[in-house]
Amino acid sequence: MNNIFSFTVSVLVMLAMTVETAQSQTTVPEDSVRAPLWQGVTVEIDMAPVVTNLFNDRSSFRYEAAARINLLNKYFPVIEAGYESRHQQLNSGIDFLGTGMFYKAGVDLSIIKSELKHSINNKFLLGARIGMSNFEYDVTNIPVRNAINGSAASVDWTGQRQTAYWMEIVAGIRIEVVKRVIMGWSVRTKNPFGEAEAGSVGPWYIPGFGRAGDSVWAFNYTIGYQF
Amino acid sequence: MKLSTFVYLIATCTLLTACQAEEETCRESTEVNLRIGLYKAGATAVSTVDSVTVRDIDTDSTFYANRKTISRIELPLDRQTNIARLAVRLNEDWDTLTVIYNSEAFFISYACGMVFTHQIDTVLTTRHAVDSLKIPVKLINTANEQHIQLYR
Repeated sequence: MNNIFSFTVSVLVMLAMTVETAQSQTTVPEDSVRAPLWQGVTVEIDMAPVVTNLFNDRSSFRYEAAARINLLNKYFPVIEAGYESRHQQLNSGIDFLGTGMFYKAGVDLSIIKSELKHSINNKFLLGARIGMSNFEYDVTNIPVRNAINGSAASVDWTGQRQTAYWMEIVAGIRIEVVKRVIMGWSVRTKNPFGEAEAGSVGPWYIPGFGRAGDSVWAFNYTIGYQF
Repeated sequence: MKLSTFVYLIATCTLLTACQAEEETCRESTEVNLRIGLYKAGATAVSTVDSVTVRDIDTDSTFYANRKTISRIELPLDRQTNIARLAVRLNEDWDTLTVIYNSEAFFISYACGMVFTHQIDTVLTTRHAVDSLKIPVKLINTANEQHIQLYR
């Protein structure tokens, strides 16, 4: 439910910002100069985890950055990388700790043609990513009921290592708020490749992806600098 | 867009995503029992037995004490011994049923935890009340299946 609400809010705000940008472009004549292939590179940092890290315990944190190349002001090859640790105690008593690096590569397309020279850094982007995470995880205090006498025991499953892959569809906006300083907002859906083997203790959470299992939604709020 | 507006949006949406509850509720069965169906010789459907008693010979514990008119027996297996020696009385006659099996950890989910499943290797029985037996399903897990059929 929270995901749906968050997504709705995101879409509404993105639309509002797009309309605002479009309105500011209506009175200036079209610039017909063709842009060169290389338009620069933008380095971005995801600001959302910087905030959420403050509210989590020390063993749950995430850092993520991206480099986006601008080609023809239309195509944007992207590389994203980060490091995430997630600690979660579940209602069943199971304690999960997963830590690792994650990487994503893909491309964004600017789907609204900019008509103005000075608004060339405001964009609505649609893109895709292939994600990969190589991580370690510990699952402790797994409840095991003794079938004979009904007593409860627990087992630990530590030192597990896994590599996970997934695909993302991304939509977002980028707005130049100050000269060369770009703020952005993305919503993305992530779909995992492959499924955990039945009966095995797979990860509860995958760094860079989120809750393991089905597809998940995620949001990024970035600030970047264009070189 | 003003910078302060953007910061406000960031904070709002960050909190929306950060406050999602991590609820885990177990909705699957965690019962792993050996299920034995009681049949008359040559029959294809289970039939009730007037009186059934089942005891574990090694631990001297009683699972069924003179239970009346039942057609199925359900027993937990010990994952540490991998053998169950059962004294089974069907009406008046006693038999010894020996089940040899292997046990393996099986993780159901983060909500339900782990169980031990069993793979039946061998089943031996004396033939006082029991005429014969079949093992239609050798894997004992949380599925509600009949693993052994006892014919009398």
